[in-house]
Amino acid sequence: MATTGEALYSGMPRTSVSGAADHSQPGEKIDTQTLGQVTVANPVMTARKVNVYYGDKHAIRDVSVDIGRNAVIALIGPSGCGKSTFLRCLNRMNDTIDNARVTGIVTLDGKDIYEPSQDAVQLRARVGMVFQKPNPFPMSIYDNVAYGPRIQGLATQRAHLDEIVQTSLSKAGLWDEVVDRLDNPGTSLSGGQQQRLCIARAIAVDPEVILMDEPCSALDPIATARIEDLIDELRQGYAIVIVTHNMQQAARVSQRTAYFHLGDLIEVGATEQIFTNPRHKLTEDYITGRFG
Amino acid sequence: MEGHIVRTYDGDILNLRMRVLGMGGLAIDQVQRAVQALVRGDDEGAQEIVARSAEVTAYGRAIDEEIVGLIARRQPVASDLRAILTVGRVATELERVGNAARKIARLSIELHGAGETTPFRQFYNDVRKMSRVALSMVRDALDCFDRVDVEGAAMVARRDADLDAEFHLALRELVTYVMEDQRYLHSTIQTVFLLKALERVGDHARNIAAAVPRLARREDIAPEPPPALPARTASGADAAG
Repeated sequence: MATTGEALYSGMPRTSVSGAADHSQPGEKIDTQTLGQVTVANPVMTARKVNVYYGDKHAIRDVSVDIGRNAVIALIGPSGCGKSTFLRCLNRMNDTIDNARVTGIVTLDGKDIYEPSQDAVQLRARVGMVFQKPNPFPMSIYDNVAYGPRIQGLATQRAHLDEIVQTSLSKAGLWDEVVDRLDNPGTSLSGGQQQRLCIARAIAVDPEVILMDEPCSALDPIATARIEDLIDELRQGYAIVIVTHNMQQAARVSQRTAYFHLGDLIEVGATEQIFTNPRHKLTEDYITGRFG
Repeated sequence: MEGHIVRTYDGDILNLRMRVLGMGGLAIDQVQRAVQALVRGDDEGAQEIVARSAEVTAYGRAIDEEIVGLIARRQPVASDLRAILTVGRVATELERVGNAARKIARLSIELHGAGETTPFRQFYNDVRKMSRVALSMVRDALDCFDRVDVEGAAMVARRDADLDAEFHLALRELVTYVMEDQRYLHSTIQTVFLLKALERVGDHARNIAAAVPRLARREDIAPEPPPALPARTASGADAAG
């Protein structure tokens, strides 16, 4: 790998600039051209003027937005708009891409996650991720969930580990379905169950934020409904950021929606407002299926 | 309401609007014929109006079903959703115009049956005049609906005041008849209902006109181009800020 995550971080000025920010929520004034409610009270994560470059390609530009606690924020936009790129900034997944470079500030509980002292692996335990395609490890259902707590040293005794596995699988709505076959391989489950297993795996290490990158795009409508129902339940305990191509899904599961277009965060606001009264024409054209 | 990537969606919306215009044509025709039947003393014609009023209602139901189907299949949001619901509202107003025609036809039959003890013939001119104004309002409101002409619609809505003034003028005159001879009371009340029905047609036209702005896509909601951001160089960090 050419560069490490630490070297990628270019150190933005710490003080934010006040400017013509268009937001109504409490919070500091931030300099952004994004329409709507960029900041929220007591955010778990904040992004300020985040830019990502893949080599010469400027993938996202000056994205500033807060991630609220116990809420789901949906990132929507056409392919290549930068929504997944932004999602990957939130747990430094872009570090794993050779020529990717991130500038700007991303904080978790007020602490910069791109600080050289921040351990990326630790960070990813606090900001978990669920991918588009269910990707259980090639091991048993039990071990899939126990894997994170084991390497994180969260449980030293078997009984404690059992408890974590059961709680995680229960929270992911999978316990009843797999209680009799915890030793079966994770890959023996159906697609929807595998995705819930991945969610159980993510929550086993007790994260604060769960990132979901199109978690339902490989699932049938019933399995999708289960996951959506689960997302709504999980929000009681976690902040969730979900990237989705399915606008109805964004409307159904999220409290806030952010619309990305060609690397810019165009508009962010309460989901109901975005889907009934978008303020930007690009948002309106996208959500009504008129792009062009 | 056009311009969707899925062109059959545009087609669905167009069909819906055409159906509403068809319904409007029928409702206007019904009112026109009802007034004619009244003035000509044509009870058979009036009966026909009453019988045909179910057609307008059926139109309304069909439009309702189409809207339900469109929402279920297309899941419209934002301006599309608002526009589709507005079309439904316009159909409801037209259904009420159709009801007014039925009411006029029924009252016309009753008034003709009342013979010479009624002063209503004096009001033929008022009825004609009011129906002319009311129906031209409905026609123009539907035209504005068709063309999504927000300014035109505002002008149509303003004409409702003229119709209200006509109605109140006629009302005052009718009162004098009752004061002269109480035998006229029953037929006078019926005449008032009849004029009131026409006045209501104007209200429905005004409501249709008032709905037109909700069909318009909000072109003014935000700057057309994406926010202009300074061009970046690949060197990045120093340019940010």
